[in-house]
Amino acid sequence: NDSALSAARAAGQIGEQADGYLGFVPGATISADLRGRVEQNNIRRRALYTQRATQRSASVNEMAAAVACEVFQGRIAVGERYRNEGGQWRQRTASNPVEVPGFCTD
Amino acid sequence: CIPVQIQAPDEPIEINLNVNIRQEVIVRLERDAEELLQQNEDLF
Amino acid sequence: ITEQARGMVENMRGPASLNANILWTRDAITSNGRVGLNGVSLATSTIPVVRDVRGEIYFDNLFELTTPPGQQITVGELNPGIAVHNGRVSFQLLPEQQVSIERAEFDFASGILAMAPTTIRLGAEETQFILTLRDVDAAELINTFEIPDLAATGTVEGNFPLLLTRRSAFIQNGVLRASTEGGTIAYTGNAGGDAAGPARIAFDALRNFRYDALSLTLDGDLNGEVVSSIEFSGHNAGGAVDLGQIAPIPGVGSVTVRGVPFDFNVRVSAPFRSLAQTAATITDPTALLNRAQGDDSEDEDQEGATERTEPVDQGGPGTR
Repeated sequence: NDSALSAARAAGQIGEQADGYLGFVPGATISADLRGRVEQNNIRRRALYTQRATQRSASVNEMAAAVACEVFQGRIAVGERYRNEGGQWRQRTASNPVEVPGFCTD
Repeated sequence: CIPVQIQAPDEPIEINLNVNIRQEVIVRLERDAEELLQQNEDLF
Repeated sequence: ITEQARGMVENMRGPASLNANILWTRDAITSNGRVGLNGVSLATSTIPVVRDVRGEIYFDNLFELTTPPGQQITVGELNPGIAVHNGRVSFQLLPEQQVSIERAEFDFASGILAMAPTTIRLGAEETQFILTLRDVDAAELINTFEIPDLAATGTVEGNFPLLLTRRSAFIQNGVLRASTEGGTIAYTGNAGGDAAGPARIAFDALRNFRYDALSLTLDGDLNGEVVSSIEFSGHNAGGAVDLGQIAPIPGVGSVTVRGVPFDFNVRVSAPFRSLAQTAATITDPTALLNRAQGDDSEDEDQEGATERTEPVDQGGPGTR
């Protein structure tokens, strides 16, 4: 994974969202370089979702949400911030597990 | 009763149909989601 | 692609050739060059899939990356949420990543999807187009959206604004109308399986329905949920429609009717693509039947109608 993005995740500047994309944590200072990298990452994610959704006759948002489920169920490290289905930013901590979106199946 | 062929009315019968489609698609895409994650480690 | 293109044009792949000549003289640097694209694919901030771009672009200034008007390329596939193919685009690159699209036409459902001339900025958060659909075959349209159990004839046309953002492709009040003098619609699915009363009639009529007017409005995000409402009027051409116990004319009983004129207003809201995955299930039939003749009271089949239509009084039968 892109080291600059990993550092920004660990530093709580950016995080995964329930819509399948990376987001900017409110209040974090985001450099132009980091903004470009996040937008680049999200463009590539959307391209993946669009191609796979077309093959499966699903909508792009559904494909993105399905990936978000996998990410929320296993790829958010303790300490990282994420944005839940309701749009609020949360932090995964030892005592607060990740709030997996309602549309996910376990 | 005897079926009666009635004269077609001059005014159209108005039919309003609301069709709502809700279907659990996310389940169907689970395997694809796992595949995309594995094949694109650099993105996630 | 330079650093500052990051987050604007991505996933650039495919064979491209550049021959450039740069001329330094004491008082000016002039640069121009030709870029040959031989099947390049890329993603932009608002169009995630652009595939198989071919053509030769002449740059009159390599530093500004600007071109004269009339550059021509072909695009194998463009997909902002739904795929269109075989594009023929003529454009001009202007300073500050502005692109003047002079003409752009794609194949869509056996017809043409054309873009009105417009200027967009690469990397912009939003891009707005006005799209025109011409001689789109109704059967092909249904095919493209993979809608099961529905067949139709006739051609449709129309235009609509499309707003592209980093996450969505919004159709705003897109209107398509049948351009031919009519056609047929046949819904053979069992969505209306357990429908009773007026909805039962609707489905019987839809088995083979001759429309003389049809309009389809589309609103929503091609990536998410599109609400489409289909209105068509005409009469059923097929088998007799059994009014069944709905319209018992005292002492006569079941009445069969053929050629009954219908006004159908079908409002379908579904995630855009997965409309194709399920047969339409009727969850909310609001059928307003205006008695063809005889019995004077309206019969409203409730079943939790969300959209209330004004009950038609006996005097003004279902005119629109």
